[in-house]
Amino acid sequence: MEKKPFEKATRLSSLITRSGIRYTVYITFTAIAVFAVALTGIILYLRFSTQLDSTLLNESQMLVEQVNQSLSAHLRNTIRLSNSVTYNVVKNQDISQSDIASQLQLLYNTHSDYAESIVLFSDEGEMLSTAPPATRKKDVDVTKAVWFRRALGEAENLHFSTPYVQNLFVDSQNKYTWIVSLSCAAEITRDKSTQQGVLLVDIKYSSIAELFDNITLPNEGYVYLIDAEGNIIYHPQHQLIASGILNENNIAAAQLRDGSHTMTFNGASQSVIVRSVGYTGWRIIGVVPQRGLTLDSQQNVLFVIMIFCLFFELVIIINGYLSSKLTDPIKKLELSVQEVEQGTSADVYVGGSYEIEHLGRSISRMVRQLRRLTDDIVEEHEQKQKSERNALQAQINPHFLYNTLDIIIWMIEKKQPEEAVRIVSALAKFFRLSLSGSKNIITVQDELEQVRNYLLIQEMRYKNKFTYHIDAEPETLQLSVIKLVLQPIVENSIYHGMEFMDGDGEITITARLENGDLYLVVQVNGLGMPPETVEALLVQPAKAHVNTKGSGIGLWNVNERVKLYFGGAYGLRIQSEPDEGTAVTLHLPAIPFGEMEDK
Amino acid sequence: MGRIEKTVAAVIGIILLTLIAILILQSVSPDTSESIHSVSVLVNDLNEYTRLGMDKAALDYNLDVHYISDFGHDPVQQMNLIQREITNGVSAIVLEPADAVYIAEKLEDAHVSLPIVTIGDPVIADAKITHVSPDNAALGRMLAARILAEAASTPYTILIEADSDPHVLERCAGMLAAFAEAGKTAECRFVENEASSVAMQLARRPQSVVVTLDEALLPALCEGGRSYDRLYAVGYTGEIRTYLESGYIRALAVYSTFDEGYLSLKAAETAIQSTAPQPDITLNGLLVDGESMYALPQELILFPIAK
Repeated sequence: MEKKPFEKATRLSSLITRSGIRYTVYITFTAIAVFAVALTGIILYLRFSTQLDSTLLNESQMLVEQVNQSLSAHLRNTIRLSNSVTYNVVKNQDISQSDIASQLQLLYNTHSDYAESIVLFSDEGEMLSTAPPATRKKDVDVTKAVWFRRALGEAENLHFSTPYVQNLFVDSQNKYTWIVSLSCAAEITRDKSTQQGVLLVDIKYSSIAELFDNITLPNEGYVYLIDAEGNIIYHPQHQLIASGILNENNIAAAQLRDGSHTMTFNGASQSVIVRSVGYTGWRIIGVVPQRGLTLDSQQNVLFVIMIFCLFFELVIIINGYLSSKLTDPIKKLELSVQEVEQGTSADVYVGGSYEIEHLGRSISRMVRQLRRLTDDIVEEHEQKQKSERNALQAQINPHFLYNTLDIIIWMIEKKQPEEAVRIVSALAKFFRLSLSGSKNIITVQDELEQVRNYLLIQEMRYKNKFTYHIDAEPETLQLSVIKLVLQPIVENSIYHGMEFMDGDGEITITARLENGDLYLVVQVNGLGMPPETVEALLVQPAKAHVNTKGSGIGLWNVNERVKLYFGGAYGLRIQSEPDEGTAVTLHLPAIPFGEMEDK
Repeated sequence: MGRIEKTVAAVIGIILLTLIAILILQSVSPDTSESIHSVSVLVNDLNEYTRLGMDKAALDYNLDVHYISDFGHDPVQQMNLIQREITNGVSAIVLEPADAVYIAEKLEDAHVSLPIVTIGDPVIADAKITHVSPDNAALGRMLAARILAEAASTPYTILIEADSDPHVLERCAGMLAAFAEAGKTAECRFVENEASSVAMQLARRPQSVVVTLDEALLPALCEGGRSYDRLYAVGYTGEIRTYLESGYIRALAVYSTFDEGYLSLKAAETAIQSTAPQPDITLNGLLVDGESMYALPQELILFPIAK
């Protein structure tokens, strides 16, 4: 199991190696291009995402700061209103003698755009004055209210409440109003005695909500307002959060210092901007989801895939073109070298880029050199063959000459000058044909004439111990034959076939055409030969151990010459039966004289 | 290029052309995910807070909501309106069925396929219907527990409107079951929704704990004179705020009608976006009395802040 990755890598490497330079280049280029683009895309994506988040965060911080300033201004106005009531209306005036209600009403009218009501209570919860005029509910005990107790408990401070539904006054229209209360202690003079009272300025919740309602942070971010404990004062989804349909990280946010923070809530990362609001302990919280560059719509995803496909298509086409440009010359070079290898005379391809062209030229030069060397070798070989043929042919003439001269000597010794003259005459004809120029190829007719002269010589030597017949089909007479191929056969027939024969020997020489080939047959009756002797006749003399008169060189010589001229399919075939006779068949191609090159 | 390269290039080219075609089609065809869906709300006497919740949902989910309430309590007319709205091409319908059984039959006959969200009584039909409501039996039980804790030995009278809807009867069943578990019995009386009819019933039962399980009867009960010992009810309207504050009404079992409105439209929007049937939504119930009505979370249920 552990070897699997290695095996896979090996297989892949093997595949690439086998696929050739074109696909290796193509796949490598494509893979590198895709990888480079993917890497660049990821880096750019991360970079731009971070930058975008940073930009959005800065923008959000500015928006939160603007809200903070608006809210602070609003709260300052409320505090000014409270101070105006406390110091200009209530303080130093005996409320039992002064008409503070009209003064409160005047102030209320001035600030009614955000003020819901202004109410002055005694420290026992008695409503002393209110603007606008309203009927207090009978059952409501304000002394138990948090805003009332906090105002008296911490008299030096102003106290802002969280939002609640005003339930102080009788509302005949069954409407309810959400308010935020500002309460503070107020020094009241009544019937010349001074006592502590509570001033309640109810701010319309909607006046605060308006400051936030139109604020939208980037990435569907939002702004909300909490008190120091994290209780929500304003939230665009306040009702849904209260119902539990949505939730908010307000309690955790209350623990954060002013500034920007990153938090994870409901599994999503978000930037949280915190700003404290003056006078109140409230905190404005801006929430911006950290999305970076998101592909949040199907259209965007399709667009990115399309861009990638477009790029991939371009890479394929460009890489295809480049790899073709690079490898096609190599391929052409390879094909031309293959053709050269197969022995054709095709030229080696020279082209393509500089390096490949240079390589092509080098190979071309090398091929030319090889061809030249090959031609030299072939020529040398042919020269060698020719030398061998000439040498073989040269072996005949002395051999025959020795024998003939032996006969002539013998005749002269026997005082037979007429016979000697006939032999010399025949020998002269024989040599005239044999030495006729430098031709090695002659007609069958001349060759038979040559043999006839030779037989005449031999007949005289053997004192008419044999007779001979030459029978040639007329159409064979003008065919080509190697000079002096029949004579050694006839010579061997005489020596081996008839020398020790008791009766008259008979030599028959025929020339015929069979299956388009020329057959020259020398048939002799007589002793015949055992098979081993027949086999030995066609073996190279150096390897054969046949030691007979006239030697076996003649037949082997003829056979080798025929094969050298016409190929291995042609040559001699010897058929012999002891006491029956021997037939030597010379198989040659039927080539009209003059059509064959005389090498 | 070689054969493999041509094949790869052709495949990528086909994908590329397909993507371009899709993008072109998307750019010329209306985008359903971003488009404003039209939703019709067929509810008679729509609760103001339910409406508030629906308005909020319409804003949050980009819905174009048409409120239709001119069919009285006539189920035939309501069904005609449903068919008219379907013909007009609305994406979903929110309705409080005037007659759940009749509407169910007609919806099945009409093979309605668009999303339908019901409030009030559930419509059981083979259609894409989501029901948004409180657990009515639980509301009855909740109120019964409070009554038993405060007035264990007083006779109980449950007033129900004569033609009450099934969800009111569910509340009644829940309450009676809770009484029965405590070994108590309650007298159920069917009344007309008129002050005189209610007053007549109450006059016959002085010193009785009176319960109504239908908020529609509450104004008549409150106007009928305080001849009862204690009044308990299910539901809330702005009109009875004073009675609750003053203690006329001892306790109410309530649920957020704002949530009912918001969640019904949210369910409609979800059903428009999805092909799968949406699960029913159950709203939480809560007890409210004069003391707790201005405290959280009751305050936000009785006086929704989303204005």
